[in-house]
Amino acid sequence: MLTDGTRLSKNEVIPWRIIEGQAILIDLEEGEVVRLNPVGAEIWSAIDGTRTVEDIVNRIGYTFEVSQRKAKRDVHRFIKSLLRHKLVHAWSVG
Amino acid sequence: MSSAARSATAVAASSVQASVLGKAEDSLVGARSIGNVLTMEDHDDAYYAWRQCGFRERILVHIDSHMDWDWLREHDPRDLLQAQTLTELDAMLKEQRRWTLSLRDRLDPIHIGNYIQPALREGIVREFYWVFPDVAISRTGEPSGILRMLRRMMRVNPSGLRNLRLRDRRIHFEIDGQPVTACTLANLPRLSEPVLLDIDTDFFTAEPTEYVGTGRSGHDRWRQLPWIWPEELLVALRSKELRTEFVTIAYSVEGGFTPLSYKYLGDELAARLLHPVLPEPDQSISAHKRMGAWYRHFGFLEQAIAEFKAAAALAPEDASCRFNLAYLHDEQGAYEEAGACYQHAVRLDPAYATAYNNFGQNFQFLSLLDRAQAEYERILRWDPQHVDARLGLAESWTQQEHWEQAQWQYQAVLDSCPDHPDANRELGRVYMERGLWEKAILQLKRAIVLEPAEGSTHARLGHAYYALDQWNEAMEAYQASVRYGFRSVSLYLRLGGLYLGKRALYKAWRQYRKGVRLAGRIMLVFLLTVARAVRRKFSREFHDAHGWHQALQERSDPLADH
Repeated sequence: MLTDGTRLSKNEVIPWRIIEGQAILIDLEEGEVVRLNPVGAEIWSAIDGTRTVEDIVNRIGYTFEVSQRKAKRDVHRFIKSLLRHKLVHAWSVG
Repeated sequence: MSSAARSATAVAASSVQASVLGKAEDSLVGARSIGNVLTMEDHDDAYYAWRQCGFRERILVHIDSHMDWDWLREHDPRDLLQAQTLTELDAMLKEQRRWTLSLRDRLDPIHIGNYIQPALREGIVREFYWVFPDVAISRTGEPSGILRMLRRMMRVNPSGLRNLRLRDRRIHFEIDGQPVTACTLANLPRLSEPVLLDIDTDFFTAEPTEYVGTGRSGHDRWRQLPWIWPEELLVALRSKELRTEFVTIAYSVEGGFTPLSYKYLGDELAARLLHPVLPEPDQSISAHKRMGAWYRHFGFLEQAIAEFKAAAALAPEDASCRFNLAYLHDEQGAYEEAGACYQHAVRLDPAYATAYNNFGQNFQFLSLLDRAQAEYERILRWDPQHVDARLGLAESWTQQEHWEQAQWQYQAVLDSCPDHPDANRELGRVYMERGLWEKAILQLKRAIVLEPAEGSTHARLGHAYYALDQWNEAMEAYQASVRYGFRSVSLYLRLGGLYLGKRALYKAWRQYRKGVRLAGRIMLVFLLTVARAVRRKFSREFHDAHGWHQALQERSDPLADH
């Protein structure tokens, strides 16, 4: 269950790099190259093992100048997609 | 092998080191003796020989039915992240043959189909001439089939193969920036410096694509005649004033490229390179074999037997004479004599016991199953313990869906060779077809122990569990199959169904999507194959009408002056 307090970290076996604002991830298990658009790349960059989902929502809202509600909806949807692809790990504290 | 051919190989073995020191002198091919002639079964051994000899920046003349060139997947997928721009990344991804995105797939090793690429990459070769057989030329006199193949390669790796153009009946292009020319023997230009000469024995026995299976030898490939003989090749090379100090010759019997009955052409070529005027008795041995082949082609079995017997009397240690005699006796119904000749050939050269000592696999590939079975039965008459022939027979029964006969043959293979992974896997399939699911599961599990990375076995195991409604086991087996790189529409659809049953909707949707995409690709390939077959049919009719088959026979008929 994804909550505001959930912390996220990247799957360490996924090589990645930001190229021209897009995050390029190589999913060696699925044999696919995954491209994240600039918003996805910003979220991906923000995932560092210390930030919570709420922190990331705030950062996206501030960076792309969108409402808190829209930022929360998009970030949650995107992070769920990353979790399904096993590109990130999530855990709740407390 | 004749005495001259044996000495050619021996000379090669002892003088490889001389080449390293640069002491070997180059000679005019077909005019002067060439000391370094190396014979080999697998053509990629040529690459290791060139490397061992320390050759650098040489011109390679590769005379072969096949280009033996492919890109090695040399890059780690992580190297994609070295791209500086998205355009660069897209360009890198277009070179599909260079990347294996999944680390499950091992990097391609060097093999008979790609050994020239590392020779170019490492600077052993700086310029590459591929001489293909005349039979690759279309009715318009253009090498259109070769051009099509090169265009396909260009599509796969556009930055690796560039500047493809046809000029003066020669195809010019660049591979990784290095010049390559593909042409027939007649169009090979005069080269000003000594070359590395690399010849495949299958060059002699090439048949045009449209004749494969119907061949100018008819359906009887045993009667096939080479389109060119070794001395004719050497005369052609001499007319080009080609010079070399190092020749590599591959037999290429394994894989079915050169018919085993003509493996001796590789030895004869080696002998003629060493002795441009072949000494006695090698000249007589060669003449008798040639006559034997011609008599066989025209169906004069008695005369063919007499010729090969005469050759065998002069070369008692020549396995090829015994092997050709085995076939001829078998054709006459003298099965005991045939078996004795075959066993004699194998004693002289154990390589004659190969799985490719018959045309069963060729006929199987062409769905000429009666002919395939006749081939396997012939070998089993000669050697009832021949595992590959028994397996081939079992496979042809499987293709005909005669499950009981197939089961009997697979079990016979396993009686003599219990750890044969193919026989275990295929017997598992036969049990499945007969609805013996429990037995199938046991057999497939045994096959997996013997060959854990064979994805198709895991898929079949999944199907067996699926049939028994053992969903968890089926899912596990299907997942293993995908992990080992096996792909099929039914696999994706069933895996999708299993995910759906577990309410894993996203995963189910992904599997269904993969299944539909794969089905689309299969349909596209099917339509392209049909279109190609229709085009080939018209092309063949045109060829037959112009009767170049007859022209080839008229070219040099030794029966006329014998």
